[in-house]
Amino acid sequence: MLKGEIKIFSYKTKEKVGNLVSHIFLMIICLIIIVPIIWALTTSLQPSEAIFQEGFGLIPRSFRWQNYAEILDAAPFGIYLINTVIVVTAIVILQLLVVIPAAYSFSRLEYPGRDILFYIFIAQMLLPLQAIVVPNYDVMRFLGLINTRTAMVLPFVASGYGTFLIRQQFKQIPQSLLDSARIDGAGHLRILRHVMIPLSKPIITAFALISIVVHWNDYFWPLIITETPSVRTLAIGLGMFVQQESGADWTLLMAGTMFIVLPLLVFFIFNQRIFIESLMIKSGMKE
Amino acid sequence: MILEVVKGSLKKGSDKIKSNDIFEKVVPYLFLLPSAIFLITFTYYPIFRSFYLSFFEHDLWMPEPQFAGLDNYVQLFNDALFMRVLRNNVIYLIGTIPVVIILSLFIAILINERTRFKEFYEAAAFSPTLIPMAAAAMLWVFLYNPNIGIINRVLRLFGHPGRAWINSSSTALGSLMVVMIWKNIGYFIILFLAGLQNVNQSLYESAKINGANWLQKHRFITLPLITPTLLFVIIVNIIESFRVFDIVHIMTQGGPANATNVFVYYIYQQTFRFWNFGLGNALTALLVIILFAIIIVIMRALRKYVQYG
Repeated sequence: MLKGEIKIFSYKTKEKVGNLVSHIFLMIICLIIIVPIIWALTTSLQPSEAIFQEGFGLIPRSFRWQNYAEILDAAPFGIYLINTVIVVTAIVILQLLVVIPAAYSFSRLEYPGRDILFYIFIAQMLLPLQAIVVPNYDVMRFLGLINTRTAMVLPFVASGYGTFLIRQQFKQIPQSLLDSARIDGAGHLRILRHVMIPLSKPIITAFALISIVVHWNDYFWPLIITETPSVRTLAIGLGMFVQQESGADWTLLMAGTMFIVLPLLVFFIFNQRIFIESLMIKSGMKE
Repeated sequence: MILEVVKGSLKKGSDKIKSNDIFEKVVPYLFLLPSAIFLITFTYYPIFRSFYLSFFEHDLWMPEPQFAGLDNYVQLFNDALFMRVLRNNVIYLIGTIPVVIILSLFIAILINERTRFKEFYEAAAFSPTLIPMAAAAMLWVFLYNPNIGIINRVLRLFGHPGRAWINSSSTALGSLMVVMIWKNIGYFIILFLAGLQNVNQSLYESAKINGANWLQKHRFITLPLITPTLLFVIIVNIIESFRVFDIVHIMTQGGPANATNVFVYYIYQQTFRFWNFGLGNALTALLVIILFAIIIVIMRALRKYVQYG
């Protein structure tokens, strides 16, 4: 009797200790992950001599908000921001316009060659643009699109990922809904607009969010295809800024870095649940 | 059944059966057309063009490409620098993938077993994923700075003089790998968390009753049930490891002494620094082949371990 009680007791303590240890471990990991961002943020808010002080400088001792005003003078970050918004918006809208009909065709219609075409469409996932930048540069030169925002959009419009993801969702919509829409005389386009798309909003939102994050960060392709600041986006603008400012006023460099980080980070903080759920959907692992 | 009949009679009632039928046959392809145009113009045509042009010698000083057979490939395989680049890429791949997978799976399991602070852990771990690679690279140039960087500050606290990190050829590649692990780990934690949600909780309960310890529980229940996620994560990681570029371009420019020169950076150098298009196209063709080969081998090797549903 007593023995059993001791056993239960020790088992519970063991579980409690394990729980505590896990929390401490996770806290430390999270701290390690966040500290670089916090350090960059405080550095970006301080006068430039502050970074040579002793200690770790994680808490700012004095503030200097002008750093952010100064980077806007030092490089056209305002233009970069506008360009980024234009390019990312164009990519996402065009992606949805071409991916949704393709997903509908692959999920709901039957015709010869469908499966092989589907594999050709999604094999694109294995071919990141980084791998085919050389021939794509030629294509853009041929189209006369070097140094344009259009060139930053076009290669990303077709999306194997998006086609795959939205097709999976479309397949789950009950056939009876489509049949009754057909009886009411709805054609494919009306079925898409009034049945498929409204019922697939979470997946479509998820794909759009992922696409925004990915293309907000594009660096390699804009580096190759742009030549002047007037068309550049934030990520590549920062890259260029870094190279011209290699004399390194760290507070300004960090202000520039945070300037391109903060929009997405703030967006994320306010939409954390949607983001995380989207990613889980993206992997296609959550039923 | 009734539906079919109704549909059939509706169709029969129409006068435009013939033209409608042809239209119905073409429609599926019409829906694919917009996507297909972009896919062909900016993915498949460029690849085939690269394969074709990889047999030609062509640089900025030549007006026309000249057929050269396998010369580009021969040149590449005799190029000590290219071998170095391949070696760097393999080191990168072997050095990051196991670390990323083990760490992110371990952390995901720990988060999944907790009830408190779950959202905080998820958000914290995920935040680097949102940071543009260019910004992350810049941030870490600062962290790695030998004089004022926080890493050497911490080391000095423990009496260690610190290192030159990205400025030394012995530590540069490893330093970049740390940045990529830091940047990507949150994404894979979220993927594993998604996979873990499909594991039936009652399995853990019965394992507990049978006296399985933590490690046994996850070795025999969790691991087999998340193999689809695991396969996905491995493939994403392989593709990632061959497209590393931003971080190299900002942090080290491939140096010091080519210690961090990786595949895509080498393509960039040959094509857009030395303007050797022939080599650039041959490298592109090789990269496409390597990517497909590795992925096919991995999928075949792991297929028998993957359990769906």
